[in-house]
Parts: sequence; C-alpha cells; structure tokens
Amino acid sequence: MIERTRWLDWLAHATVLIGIAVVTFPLWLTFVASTHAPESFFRGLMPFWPGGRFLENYEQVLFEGVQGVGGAPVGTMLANSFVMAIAIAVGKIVISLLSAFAIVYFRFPFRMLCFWTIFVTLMLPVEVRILPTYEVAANLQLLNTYTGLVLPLIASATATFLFRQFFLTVPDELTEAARIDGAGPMKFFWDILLPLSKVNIAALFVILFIYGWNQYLWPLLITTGDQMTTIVMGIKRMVNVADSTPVWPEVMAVATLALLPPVVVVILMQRWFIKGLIDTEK
Amino acid sequence: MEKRVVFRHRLLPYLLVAPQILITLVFFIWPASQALYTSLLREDAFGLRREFVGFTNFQRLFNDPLYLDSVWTTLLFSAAVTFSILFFGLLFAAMADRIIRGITYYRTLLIWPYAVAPAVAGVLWLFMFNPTIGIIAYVLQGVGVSWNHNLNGTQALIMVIVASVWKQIAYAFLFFLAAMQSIPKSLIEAAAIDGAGPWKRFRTIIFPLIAPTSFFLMVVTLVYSFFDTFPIIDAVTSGGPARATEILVYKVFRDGFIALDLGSSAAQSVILMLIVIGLTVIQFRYVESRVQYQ
Amino acid sequence: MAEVTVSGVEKRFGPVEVLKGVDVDIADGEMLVILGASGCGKTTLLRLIAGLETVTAGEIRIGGRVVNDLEPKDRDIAMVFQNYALYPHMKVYDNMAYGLRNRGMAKDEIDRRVKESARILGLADFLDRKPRQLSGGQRQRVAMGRCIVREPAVFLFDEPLSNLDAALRGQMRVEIRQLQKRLATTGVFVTHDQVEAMTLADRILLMNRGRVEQIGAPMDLYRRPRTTYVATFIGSPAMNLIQGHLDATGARFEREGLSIALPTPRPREGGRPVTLGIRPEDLSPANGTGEFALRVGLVERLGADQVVFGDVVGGEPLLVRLPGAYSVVENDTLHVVPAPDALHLFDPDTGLRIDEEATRAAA
Repeated sequence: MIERTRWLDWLAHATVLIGIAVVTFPLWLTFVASTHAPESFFRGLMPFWPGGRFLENYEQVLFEGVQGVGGAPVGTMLANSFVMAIAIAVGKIVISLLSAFAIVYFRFPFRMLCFWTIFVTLMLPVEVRILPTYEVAANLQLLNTYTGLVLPLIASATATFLFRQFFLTVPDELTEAARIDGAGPMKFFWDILLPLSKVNIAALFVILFIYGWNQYLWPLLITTGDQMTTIVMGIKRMVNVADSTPVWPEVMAVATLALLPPVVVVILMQRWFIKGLIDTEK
Repeated sequence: MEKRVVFRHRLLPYLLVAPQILITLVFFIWPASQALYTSLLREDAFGLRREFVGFTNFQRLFNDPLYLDSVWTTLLFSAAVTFSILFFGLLFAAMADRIIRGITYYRTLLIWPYAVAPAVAGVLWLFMFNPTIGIIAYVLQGVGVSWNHNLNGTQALIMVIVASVWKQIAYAFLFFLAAMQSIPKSLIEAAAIDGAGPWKRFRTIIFPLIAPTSFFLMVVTLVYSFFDTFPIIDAVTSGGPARATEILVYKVFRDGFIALDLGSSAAQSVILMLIVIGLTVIQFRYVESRVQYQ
Repeated sequence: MAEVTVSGVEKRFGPVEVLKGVDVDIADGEMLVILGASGCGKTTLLRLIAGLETVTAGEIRIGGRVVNDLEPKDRDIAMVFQNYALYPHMKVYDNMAYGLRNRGMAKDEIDRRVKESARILGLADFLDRKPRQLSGGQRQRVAMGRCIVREPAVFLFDEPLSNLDAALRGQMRVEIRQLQKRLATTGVFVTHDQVEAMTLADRILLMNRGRVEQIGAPMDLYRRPRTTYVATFIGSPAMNLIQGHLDATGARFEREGLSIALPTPRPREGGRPVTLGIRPEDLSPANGTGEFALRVGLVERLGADQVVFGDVVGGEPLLVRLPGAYSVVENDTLHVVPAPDALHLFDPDTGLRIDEEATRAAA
C-alpha cells in the first residue's frame, strides 16, 4: 500500500488472522474430536488436542460404520460419493461442451430455443421441483441407481455458458485454417477446440467435483438402500443417533472424511478453483 | 455475440445438443410444469381423486398462519445470512487487499470452508453448539446464557444462521478480493496524492468501484440463503424446534414428502420458482449491463 | 501448379454489396497482389478463392476446374492468415503435419515434407517448440511452412506481414518472394501496403469499392495509372493533381498562374477541362523553359531526398521531391519544371486517364 501506516497493517493482518482462526477452528475441533474416545467428552470441556484413538475410530467407521447406527460402512459411502462426484463433473462437462459447440459453431433452426431451454435450468433448482422430479425418476426406474443419482444433475447452464463464452474467444482464423487443413466439425472439435479448452475444463472440473460431492437433497430422495448412501447424506442419520448415544468421535471422523476430499481439491487446485468459481459467474 | 465462421451440417448440431436438451426436458421442464399443473389441483391423501381448484391452493397458503410464519422465518434467516456473509466477506477482502506478502496462504486458509458440504458444515456447528459437550455452549454457559437449541427456537435459528454464514463467507471474500485487485493501482495512488487517507479511499474510490460486485453478490447470496441452505436445516434442526427454523424450501419438502399435501407443496414450489426466476433475471440484467459498459 | 480464373464474381453480405463483378486471370506461377484500402473487398476476394466464403454470382476456376461448390480442403490451396492462425497447442512439427495427416498421407512422406520445408525456412531447430515460444518472424515462417508442405496449386496470403515490425516486414517480404519464385507456385497476396505490392507482385490488382480499378505490372500502374484513384494510391508522396483546362490548340495545360507545355499537343482535346497529374519526383529545380514558381512552405528532409510542400499561385498545394543536397529555404520562391514525358491527363468528371491519341488509336 501507499503510505506506511503501521497500525493499519497490523490491523489488516490481525483481522485476517482472526478470520482464519474463526473459520478454521471448527475443522480443528472436528479433527480433535475424531481422535478421542467417547468418554473424553463427559468431563465438561472437550479436549483441544488430538487423542490417541485416531486409528481405531477411523478404522471403525471406514470398514464397519458408526456404532449403533447400522447402515453401510463409511468406506462404501465414500466410494459412492466419489462415483457420484466424478460422474456429475464429467457428465456436466461432456454435455456442456457438446451443446456449447453446437450453439456456437452451427446455425440451425431452433438454435435459440435450445439456448433458452438450457438457460431455464438455472431457474429451476432441484429444491423447487422436488416432488415431480422424484416422480419422473421413479417412473423411469431410476431409484437406487447410479444413473438416477447422476443423470438429473448433469444438465448445466453455467458450464454451457462458460464454454460458449470461451469458444467465442477462439479466433475464427483457427477454424478456417482447420477447414483448409481438411478438418470437419468433429475433427476440429477433437483436435483443436478440446485441447484449447483444457484450462477451462480443469477449472470447471474442480468446481463441479465439489458441487457433486456436496449434493444432499437429491441423493436423499433417490436412494433408500444402504448400499447407495453417499457420505454427505449419510452423516445426518449418524447425527440423530449421536444425540442420544455418545458416538461423537466416530461421527466427527465421518465428518472429517466427508469434508476432506473437496477441501483437499480446493487447496491443491486453488488457482483453478478460483478461476472456475469466478468464470462461471460471468 | 456470434461467430462469423460456422460449420454447415444438417443433423450434427441436433445430435450435439440432444443430451443436454433431453435431460433438461425430462428432469427440469416436465417436472416444473407438473408442479405448475398440480398446484391448481386438489388431491385426496390416497391419490385417488383429483379435482381442478384454480388458485385455491395459493389462497389457502396465504391464509395459512404456518406458511406465513415460514415466510417470516425465511426473511429473517435470509436477511441475517446475506448481510453477515457480505459484511465479513467485504471486511476480510478489504484487509487482505492491504496485505501483500503471504496473501496466497491467507487466501487458502480463508476459502476452504466453501468446499465443505452444507450438511457437513451444519454437523460441525451442531457439535460445537451441543448443549452438553459443545465448546460454544460451554462458553455461553460460562457467561450465563443457557444454551439449548433443541428447545429454544431462537437459538436454533441462530445456530443455522452461523453455520450457513461460515460456509459461504469464502465465496463473497473471493469475489470482493478479485474486484478490489482489479482496480488499477494508479487510481488508488492518484487518490492518495489527492490527500485521501485509507478509510476515505475505501469509501470514495474502492467501494463505489466494487458496488456492482456487491450487488451481484447480494443476489447470489440471497439465492444461496433461500435454497442451498436446505441441507443445513435438514441435517441440523429438521426445521425445529416447533418449526422455528422451517424456511420455505424446507417446508416444501416436508409438506410434499412427509405430510403428502401435494397441492399445497406444488403451490409452494411455484412460489419458490417465481422467486428464483425473479432473482435470476435480476442477476442476468446486471451481467448484461456490465458487459455492455465494459 | 495452376492458373486461377475469376470471372464476373460478385459477393453480397445481406444488403451490402462487397464485390461488384470482378474479373481476373492469374497465370500459372504468377504472383498477383491484390492491393486496396481497407473495406475495398480485397480480403473477401481472397476468401472467395480460398472457399471460406461462397460467391453470390460468377465463377472461380483453379487449374481449369470450377471450384465454386468445393470445400476449401478440396480446392488445392493453402493460406497464410493475417494472425498466422497457428494451432497454439501443437508443436511446430504438428502444425505443419496436421493438414497432411487429415489427408491420410503416409507417415514417412509427411516427415520428409515437414523436414524439407523446415530446412528451407530455417525452422529445423524449432520443430519441437510451441508457437508461443517463437518470435513473430518464426511464427510467420511456420505459417508459410504449413502451406509449403501441402504443395498446393495456389498460395493465398491474407496480409501476412501486417503484424510484424518494419525491419522484419522488409526481410519477410524478400523471403516470401524468393520462396514463391523458387517453388513456382501461383500466389495471391492481399495487402494494403503499396510498397509490399510493388516489391512482391508480378502484377498488381488495385481494388476500390468492390471493383477492379486497374490490373497490371507494378511499373505500369506507376507510369500509366488508369484513373486518378490509382494515380494517387500508388507512389509516395502521392501524385499532385491540378485542376485546369487545355488551351484552344491542345498544346498547353493552363490554369491561373500556371501554364505548362504538353510533350505532344492534343488538338482534338483543345479547350476541354482536365486534371493534370504530376508526381512530386517528376518535378525538378528549373533552369530553362516551361518552369513555374511556387512558394515554399514546409520542407520535410528525409536525408537522401526532401519533400517540399509548396503552393502555386492561386493557392493550389503542390508537392515536390528534390535531392537531399539541394538547398531550399522555407518561404522562398522555388522554380520547378516537370519532366516532359511525366505529365498525366485525366478527365475531371470520370477520373479516367486521357491517353495520347496515338495510343488510343493503337488500343
């Protein structure tokens, strides 16, 4: 900054550090709680440093599930969450790439109608059409299937718009050079457009992976069997049990496992995450 | 904006848009129109008889004290969540904007809660607010507040607000920071030469320049507080105690899936749809105008 | 190797008529430069030949074959774009090989051609680089290379030098000319830069508002511009145009304060109003007959020569180009005389050249 205002610099650092402390504290506490025995919580104030039950607790939840809750082991839930998150991210990217390609690089009757139909999905979050969407999925025999879990979530206006925006910045001369070089539309898409979209795809993948991993309401509706539970929705049932029986350490171990993958993705791919977040809102 | 150079092909473009359009029609447009249609019907509890009742479902809703309570809860909840997220996002961004060294580390540590699923965020705070073992409840007890969100509706509402805010500050922070860092340094320097101190610069230069971002964030955060907080409510309070945290989107779910009052649930869906459509239109108007003035 | 024939070609974009009937025959191995101001339709004409646009009317033949309905890839052409249009994610080698692979050419033949072209262009050491790791001139050469490997019937160049700095532009100009001559491939080169046109072309096609203004060898356009547009477009500084009339006998050009003898009298044109054109370099300091006086205004000294901005009596501006050594003082009076065979007469209404009767009779 311009002037040397010492106290202001201190204030800035202090505020941000307090912010970080407040924001990070729950994570620390969650991790600490996941490493203790249930009895540690009966003595008024909970411990602030990790205990010695890290391995036992995580082993228990991963391979057997939370005590007294029943249902699938968390390992299964994690696997389900991974399948769902990756399938949603890949699915959204694929169908958005294709439709953005069609809308930008072709002129065809009903082109604008297609554009607006895709746009409309922005205005219809699953929360406002819960019941009829559930009925559709039920009629299509999609309950308790991965297809049912993923398919309705992969329509994406934001991803389509992002790719459309990007395609519009690709110079026309590149398309013409490819035409002269004898590349048809799909060859151009595959050889030129797709490699050029790599950065955008990566950024979008990070955002969409988090989006997919964190899905809650739809998996809750569409899956009933234990084998299909995802970790984010599975945690609710454990909490309800935890309130009556003392299995908090195990629940917190599950919470840690549930938040770790997306948080790691954000931290490791911060640059792409921020690009994806900001680009999708343009 | 349109491409000048396009490919000519009769069938291919339709094949390319087909997957997206099909999914949209089957899982978005059709269910939404079903909701619209059902909102005009009354169905008995067994789904045996349906009759067309016009806007009766809507009339009933607006005369239903439970629904009006839910509207009020939603307004309170959304206002508190949106305001807090914008406030803290702006505060941290303004401070982080002053920091040059170590900014990336600070940023990383501030943004990670965004990656946490709302339901999991709710559980973390539920744990901390737990009346018997929670650290916050313990501290509050120490200062004479008897905390029990299982009985006290206001406390339950505060808890879900805190969880919702905590999860989303990162988003506002990132957008505010990006907006501030896109202001040319020379502008700030010119203001400093003109004798404006840090606070005055923020008020007269930085804030007006990030006003569009603030507006955009307000709309997006409102949408978040209306819809995306569903998992927090469901996982933490299930709308309770005594409906104290039953916001509109939770009530739709409950009336439709648990109480099976289909007509009413559909009417509520339609009202929510109108809200999202309104907010989306506002958001895109803004994007359009921003694009034009660039 | 092929000749290109453009006959009666028109192009409309919606209501806008960009080309209003263009005819030109390009001989095998010839380098034709299409020259014109921006918006004159020169790039459109090139893109029509390339097949990137379709003609509204008329016919284009390449090597005797009508190509109106052929895709660009089937026209046996290669094109260098203004911004090069190199595929940014591909190495130089792949950029050059891409078109050949799409044609299903054998791997070792592709390899042979790419390496041979790279050698000719001095790119052999850069085949593994991506375009963004290259300088402007190198990118330009890669774009050339992408054309050469195809061994096409026609090279098309769309202002390929306009993104380079002045020194490099001069150098690449020479390289392109040498290469095109060496390969003896027909070339069509679009530019708005008359120096490029003059130095590169076997013939220049000067376009104006969607029409052909003149086609000819560079020095033809310079020596015998068909219209006042050509006269002022070619040559720098531009040709002086002075309004006046011929005297009754057609022997002298006259206007207020000015009377110049024509090298050959034109009795038949006697008395008619004309526009007289004299190039600044065709005026020299006077020490004899036929001279006239001008008041010296600004003098631009360029070293080898100098440009005098003067006024003849009556206020008509007149530019004179003199050797750099000649001493001129601003606000002085300068006597100049035109070179006798360098006077151009144009019709003031149509802008068309008025030829000597002998020439017209011959034509």
